[in-house]
Amino acid sequence: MKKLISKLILFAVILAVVVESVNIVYVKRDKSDPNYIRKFQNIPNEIQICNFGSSHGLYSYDYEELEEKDACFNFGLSAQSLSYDYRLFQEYKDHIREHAVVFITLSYFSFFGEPEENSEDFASKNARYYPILPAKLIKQYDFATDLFTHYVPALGAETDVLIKTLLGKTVDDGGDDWQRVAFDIDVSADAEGAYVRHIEYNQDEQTGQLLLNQESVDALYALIEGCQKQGATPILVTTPYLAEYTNAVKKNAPGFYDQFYSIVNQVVNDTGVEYYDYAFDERFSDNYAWFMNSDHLNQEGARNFVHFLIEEAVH
Amino acid sequence: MLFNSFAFALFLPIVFALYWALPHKYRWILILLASYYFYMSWNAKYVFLILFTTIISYGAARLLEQEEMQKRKKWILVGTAVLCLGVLFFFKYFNFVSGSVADFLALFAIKMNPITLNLLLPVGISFYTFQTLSYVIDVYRGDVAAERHFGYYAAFISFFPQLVAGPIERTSNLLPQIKKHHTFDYNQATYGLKLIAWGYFKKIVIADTLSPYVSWVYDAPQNFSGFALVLATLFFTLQIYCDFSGYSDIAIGTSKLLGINLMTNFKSPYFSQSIKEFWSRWHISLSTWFRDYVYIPLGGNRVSKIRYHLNLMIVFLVSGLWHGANWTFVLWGGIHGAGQVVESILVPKQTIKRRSKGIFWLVRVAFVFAFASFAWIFFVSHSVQDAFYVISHLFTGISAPLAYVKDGLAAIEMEKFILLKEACLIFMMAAYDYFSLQVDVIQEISKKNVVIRWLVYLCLGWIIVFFSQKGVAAEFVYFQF
Repeated sequence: MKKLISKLILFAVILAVVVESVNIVYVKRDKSDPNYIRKFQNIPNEIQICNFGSSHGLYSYDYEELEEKDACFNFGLSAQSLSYDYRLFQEYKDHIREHAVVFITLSYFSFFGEPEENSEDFASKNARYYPILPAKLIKQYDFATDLFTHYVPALGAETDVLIKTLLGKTVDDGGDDWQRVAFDIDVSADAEGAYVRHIEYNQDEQTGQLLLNQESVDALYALIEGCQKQGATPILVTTPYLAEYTNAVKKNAPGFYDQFYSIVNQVVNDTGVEYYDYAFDERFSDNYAWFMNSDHLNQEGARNFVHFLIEEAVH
Repeated sequence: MLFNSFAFALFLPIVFALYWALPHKYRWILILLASYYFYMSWNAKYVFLILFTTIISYGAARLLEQEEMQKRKKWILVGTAVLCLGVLFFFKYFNFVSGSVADFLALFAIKMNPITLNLLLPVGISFYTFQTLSYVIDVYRGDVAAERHFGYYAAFISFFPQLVAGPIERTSNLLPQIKKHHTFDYNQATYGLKLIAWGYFKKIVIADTLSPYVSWVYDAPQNFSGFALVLATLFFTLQIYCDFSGYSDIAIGTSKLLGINLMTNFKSPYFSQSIKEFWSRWHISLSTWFRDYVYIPLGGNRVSKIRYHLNLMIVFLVSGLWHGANWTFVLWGGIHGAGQVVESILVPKQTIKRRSKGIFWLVRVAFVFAFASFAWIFFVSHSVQDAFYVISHLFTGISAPLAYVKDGLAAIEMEKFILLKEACLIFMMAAYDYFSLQVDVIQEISKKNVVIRWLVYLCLGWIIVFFSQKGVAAEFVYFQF
């Protein structure tokens, strides 16, 4: 028995050394950022302007042309829930200085749908938070995922990505999408698809009623309260969309806007925060050159949007 | 609890350490507790089903041993079979039968709303029910004595390494080993560990990485045609083998760590030279179960030719149904049955038995592999219609062979790099199976000098760690049966 255990330990140690060696090379050579979380390595210490949100937050705010760009930060991540907006705020609130402006992005799916833990892609979506949040702030934390994504990322990498990275080849992480213009796609079809993902999926299959996600609503209140306690000014924002998207929502779910705005108004009344709605803004709604698809601004659109937003909501 | 989960990585060393630390007389308690915990970690409520089946079969066997009247013994056997199979029927086949009756009546314009039960299928129910039945039948036949110690018997039925997906053990093999006093055997334990590693390689490196392509195509086959369907079918042929034989390897290896030898369940089946041989190499514990408890009681091959062929068809149709409550499984079984019938008619017995060499060997192996792959189409399809769609579109576009292959690869979005990686891994698995036809590969490697064998072990460990499918641990395919 002693012989077996000592050999097993020796085997495990050698294997661990090999794995860690590969991991070191991988980490050194890996420049990809498919989940856009590398930015958290360089988060400013004195944030003056920042935003939260899902992909609408991630892609709609480009602070590069602002004078104070080094004091700006985009907390947005694809399909990020309000709950995770608040969790990121809890972790990084000390980086947000007093009198900072915090844009909280409200998308049409922000308040609706089943708990995100029920979605099929939850595990992969949730895994991206392991390197940027402590265990207590991660939903359904488990050590194995932590090991794969945080401590030994080479173990969490897909085989092709791992080998390409080890060989020093560039791995495409889709970062060029932001430069795209909506002229290149079928915007109407894209809008219908977005409507299905954002609204139809969040309806009860039997009754067709929107499912209220109370966790999200509570997280929004908590985020607003947290910002205010921090001495920052939270501002609610719905980012610009192309008319095809808002028309698809109107056509397919006529009662949706009443429900969405009643929640927004309730939050505004309860907390006293301001709300800026750019969803129907005519400067954007038919300007394909500023969008990469029906509901996401491209980089040029994001720079212009930030310019307008700062002008109208901050100054 | 899955073998490929972190929970099992903690569970097994704890059970291993406690097992060898405990005196022999307490080990059955540990096996029983560990097995019930193992099962309850999946669904605690359903452990009562195992308990129910265990109590019924234990009591029936004791009664059978005491009873002298043959007629009463028969009734006890029938009653036990009805109770055990009744549980299986209720959970697994009720909805299928109810739906099929409704469909049948609809043919005569009789409308009936099928009664459906919204029940989760208990994991491994088909496996432990068959193990239980074999015990009761063996006691009835007088082949084994009824076990008096309920604890030993319960540990035999619920033995965790093989509880949820086999091998379906026979009383004469497993029960005496549970009762026997074992001393730790270093060679047996290291052999077990190597087998476990090989099982993980097959499961998480090959089966799980092929599985997404198979699911993608077979979830909506109408979106695909041509080479994409051929590839998905080929991938499933390899996936199901690596998944199931991988599970068996881990189960057998785990048992070896506890000093217990389970029966072999797979012997390089894709190197079979006839369909008959395929079934002596594939899921051996189930094939021999059907041979001993269905085929031979029906008369086996010692009857007229027609009756013999009928017996074969019955066994394979029932075997298909055992796999799942769907006509696709019945057809899968039927194809294998028909294949064996045709083989026995067209090919002389001596040819079937003869071991070919060279090109003849290759042709025969390729034919059986193609036949098995074809049959798997029914096994993996969600409906009979889907299966026929796949079959009728397998060769769409083949008149332009280059485009046929290129379009197929593009349709399943498989990069050349990934295809090459999978091909290398499959080659490794195939080489192991090929050499297993002649030698025990693990033993052979163990005989090599320390540098070579440690290099092999480290390479295997490295491949398992880095080339496994990332994300959530995937269930084993045979859990659903």
